[in-house]
Amino acid sequence: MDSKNIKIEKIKKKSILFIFIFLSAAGFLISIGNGAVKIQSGEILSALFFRQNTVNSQIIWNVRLPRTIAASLTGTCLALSGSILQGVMRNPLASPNIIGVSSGAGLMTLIVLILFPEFYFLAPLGAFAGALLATMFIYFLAWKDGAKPNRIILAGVAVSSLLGAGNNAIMTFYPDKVSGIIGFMVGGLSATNWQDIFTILPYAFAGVIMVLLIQNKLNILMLGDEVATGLGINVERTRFFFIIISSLLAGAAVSVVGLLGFVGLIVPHMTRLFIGSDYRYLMPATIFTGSFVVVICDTLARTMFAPVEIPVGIIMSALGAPFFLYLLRRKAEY
Amino acid sequence: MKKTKLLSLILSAALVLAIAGCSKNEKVALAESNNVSAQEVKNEETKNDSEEIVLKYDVKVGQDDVTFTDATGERVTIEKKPQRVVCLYNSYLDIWDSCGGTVIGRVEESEEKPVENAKSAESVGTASDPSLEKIISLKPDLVIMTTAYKVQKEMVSTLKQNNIPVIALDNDYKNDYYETVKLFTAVTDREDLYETQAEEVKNNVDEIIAKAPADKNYSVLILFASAKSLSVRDSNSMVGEMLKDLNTVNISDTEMETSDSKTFSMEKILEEDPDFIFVLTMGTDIEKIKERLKSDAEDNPAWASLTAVKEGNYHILPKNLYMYKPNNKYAEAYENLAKILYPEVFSK
Repeated sequence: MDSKNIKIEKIKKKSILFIFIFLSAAGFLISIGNGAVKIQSGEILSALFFRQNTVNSQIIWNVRLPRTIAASLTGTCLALSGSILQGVMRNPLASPNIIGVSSGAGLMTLIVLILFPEFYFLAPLGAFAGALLATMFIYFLAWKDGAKPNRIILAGVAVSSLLGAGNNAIMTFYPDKVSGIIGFMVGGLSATNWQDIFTILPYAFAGVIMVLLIQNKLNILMLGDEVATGLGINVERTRFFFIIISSLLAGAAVSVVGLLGFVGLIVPHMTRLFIGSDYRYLMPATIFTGSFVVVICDTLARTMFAPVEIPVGIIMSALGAPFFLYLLRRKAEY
Repeated sequence: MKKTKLLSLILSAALVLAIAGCSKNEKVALAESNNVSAQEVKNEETKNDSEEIVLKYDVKVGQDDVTFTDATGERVTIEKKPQRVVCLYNSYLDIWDSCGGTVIGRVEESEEKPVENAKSAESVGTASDPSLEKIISLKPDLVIMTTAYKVQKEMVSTLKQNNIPVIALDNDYKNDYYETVKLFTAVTDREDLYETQAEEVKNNVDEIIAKAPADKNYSVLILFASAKSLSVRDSNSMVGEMLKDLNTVNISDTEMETSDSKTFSMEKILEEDPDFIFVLTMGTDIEKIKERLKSDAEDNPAWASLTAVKEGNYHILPKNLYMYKPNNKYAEAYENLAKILYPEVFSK
């Protein structure tokens, strides 16, 4: 009887996973099919398979396709990053911001764009480096015979404050140069091109592979430090590894998209409400829900008031938050 | 005990409401009086709409003073020849200086636009955050400020309440510049400078506009170069106005009333395929940035497919004429654009 229940549970979870994969693919297609310029589906298909020189073909290949792929990748990276952190910190409020990714990336980008504007093309790299450095700094500060999750969170809050103050200081002393970085601070995909994708792809790929390989360990970590050690996991090393992967994923995403909030925090919870807390299902599911959410919201952001585009973060908060609250009320797990 | 608690709660609530009510009345009264003067300005503007220039500041010069409508909508009178002037915006400092004015206080100067005569003036902070204390401590008899910065806009009423004369301006377009020169030269009592600083500039600009062909109808796009967004400027921006005057069509003009800088769809840009693309940048070394931006555009397949990029009509504009207000160099700004757009008419 018991094994039958478990089998039903497994099938249920697997089917939910497949639904997510399907939704993610559907979102992809919707994104490619819609935009400021109306293009017939027949033309879209022919543009995808036969490269032509028409304007519409250019739009599909050079604007919509890279943008959709970038949205999908950043959604995946941010959602995965948040999901890992929530597990490692055993704290449902954990998100990439906690490990200093946002503040580190933001500060580094500001420094590059305002103090060295001739090197504006180095900004994405700077963002990435800033994110990683901030994480290392926070980890180092939190270390005392090991890095307990609470210490990391508190150190993260303190360092984010500090870096945020640095941001404000730069903006105060160079007010006329601030307008250029608003786009980055709010987060958006409007200037995405193939270059950005090649920047983020290796890290996204590596991150996803690594996570899928060691997701079991995350389940065990969730049981508590003592239990995990008892089960043979090197807690400190595993935790460090997960945090680094998380920072890599989030840093890569932030360098392409800017400071996009919401995804890292809420999407893992949304996924969890559907598929449960078992990381063997939660991880793969998060990959697809993250992609779906960002792709759909980005499509809406660039079609609602075409040809003017609104920041994707606004759409995500406006739609995602109420939807999440609705889920929260319906499923009484919290 | 319970009764006393309830009573004190009700009393404190009543007190809070009473105080809130009082301050609200004051605010409403102030807002109403502002509305009234703003309404007056609006009426004047619509009356003059049929004329070429809508008189935003409507400067009237008297024997010993000058009256004008400032950026808050109030009709203000300033005495001529102030001795202790503090200027909180370097673009206006530039104009004030060329109109024969001097200052004893200014904001942190920008390295790219220094005003020689103002070097000895005391600093009162930055343009986005000047120190009210420092300003008042200098005992100024005139403060020139801009309502473009929120902090300065809020300071205007405080300074007026302290009986410090204030010139609050909000310049966007060339007509604002001409009127500002009229105002400043009247206040410094150097109305002779109006001819060189405004009339000549206006004549040169009008000459260029008249010479620009009206039948080509080139389509243009104004981009602001930044790492992460496709920020465009439409005809309501400073450069947008210049290009509109030169008889071009801005592809980012939409019916939607937005601020002059918005994110535009790359797809639309590909579809409209503008004849000219102008790129604004805050970078200092224009040559380095030019090379970089050009190669960026050519390497990116989306941008490279645009006619403007293929035919070399992708131009980077220097910030001293196109990001900062060109002031008395408006004619030069127009001429550069005209040379790019119509080389056959405006020979190099």
